[in-house]
Amino acid sequence: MLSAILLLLCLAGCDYTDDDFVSKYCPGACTVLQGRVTTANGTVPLPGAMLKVVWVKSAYLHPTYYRSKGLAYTDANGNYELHFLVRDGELAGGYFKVEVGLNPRQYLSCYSESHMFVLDYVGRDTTLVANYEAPRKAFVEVQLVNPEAIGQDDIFRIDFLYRVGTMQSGGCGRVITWSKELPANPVLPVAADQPIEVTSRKTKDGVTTTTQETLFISAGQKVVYQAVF
Amino acid sequence: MLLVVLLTGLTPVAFAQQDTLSRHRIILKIGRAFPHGEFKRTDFKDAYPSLAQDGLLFGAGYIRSLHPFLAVGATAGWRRNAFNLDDFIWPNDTLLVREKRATAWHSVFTLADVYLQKSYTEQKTHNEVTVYLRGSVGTARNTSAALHIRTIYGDINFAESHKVALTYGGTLGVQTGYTRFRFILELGYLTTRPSFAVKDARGKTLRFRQVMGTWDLSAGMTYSF
Repeated sequence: MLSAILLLLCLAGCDYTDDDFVSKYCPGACTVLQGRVTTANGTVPLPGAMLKVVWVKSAYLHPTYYRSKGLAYTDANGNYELHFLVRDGELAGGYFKVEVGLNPRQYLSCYSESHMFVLDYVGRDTTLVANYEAPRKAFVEVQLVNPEAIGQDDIFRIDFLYRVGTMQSGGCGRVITWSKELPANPVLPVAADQPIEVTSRKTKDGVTTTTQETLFISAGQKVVYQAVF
Repeated sequence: MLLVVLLTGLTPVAFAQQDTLSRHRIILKIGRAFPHGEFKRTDFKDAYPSLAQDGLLFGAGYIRSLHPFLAVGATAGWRRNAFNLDDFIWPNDTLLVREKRATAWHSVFTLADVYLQKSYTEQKTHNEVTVYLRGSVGTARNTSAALHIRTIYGDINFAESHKVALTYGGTLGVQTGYTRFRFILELGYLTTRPSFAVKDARGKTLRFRQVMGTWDLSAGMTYSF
């Protein structure tokens, strides 16, 4: 029984990796992925960034299979073009992700440990366009001015939204929520050199009020944002 | 100037007393070149796959002893390492790949050598054993592996590329025998780093720098005169 459990755990946790060189040097019927990698809200290109297409297949209690399919680097203008060959089995199952070789400590990502995005509608002899935005980091220290005003059933939420990743992902952001259990003043990493949409939602006595404003913070800077309930 | 005169004047006297090492030797050897590191493995990020396999090594050279412990010489040689197609194309990829072939990586090199050597003579058999350390530097004309892969969607074709590059290495060797013909056994490392420009069938050029390092094990003969 124990050995069966251990075997299942191993199968679920063991990953397989593979390199598809035929795909990398695509002989024909190629899928073309092209676009631009930028920062500062699309105004500054990021040359020399590596983009790698990986096909992923996973299933419950099965090892995850990763197959490298294609590779390209951005040029001096941040542009890239990547060719790869989609196999029949890959059309039938799994998904394609694109790993972007940027330092997540330097550039903000929707995924804390890496830069990546998923491709939709992948087929042979097709061209996909994906422009990737990787903002540099700025920081917001959120200070709640009047914590005593928040009642037992009240909710106070602030969303910091900005453009990051591809247009398909639409961006992501940071959310801070207060209720009776109040967090310490958090310092949130946010996107630098682009507009940050700040939306405050206050729910008091069952009534929700929403306010919006825009912040713009330079890379590396920290600003204090005073939140008033 | 005085030191040079002394050394050249002393040399004939040294050889008369120590006939263990003749002044001139010709060397011929054959062996195996075992690719190492980046030459053997390839990473998906590499512009061009190396995937070199163990291969043949030939060499011929000349050695001139300046001193019982010091010699200089020159070597010319050729090294060939086949491309590992089974690591490049999955062996069971027969539905997609219809034909595959590749040429080998090879290098033709000429080197200037410096030897540090020490000889020992067995009393009973008069067999002389010489241990030497050789440092070499020179140039190699290197050729990249060409690839031709035919698939159901089209062909992958990369032509050969040639590039001359600096080459250097080190060797540990043993020479043994008691006649003018002696047997040698060598273990060494030789490396070069050419920058290739490889064209594909669409005319697109791949530019990359390839480390071509091999561990070389060879055996051969020397003739002393």
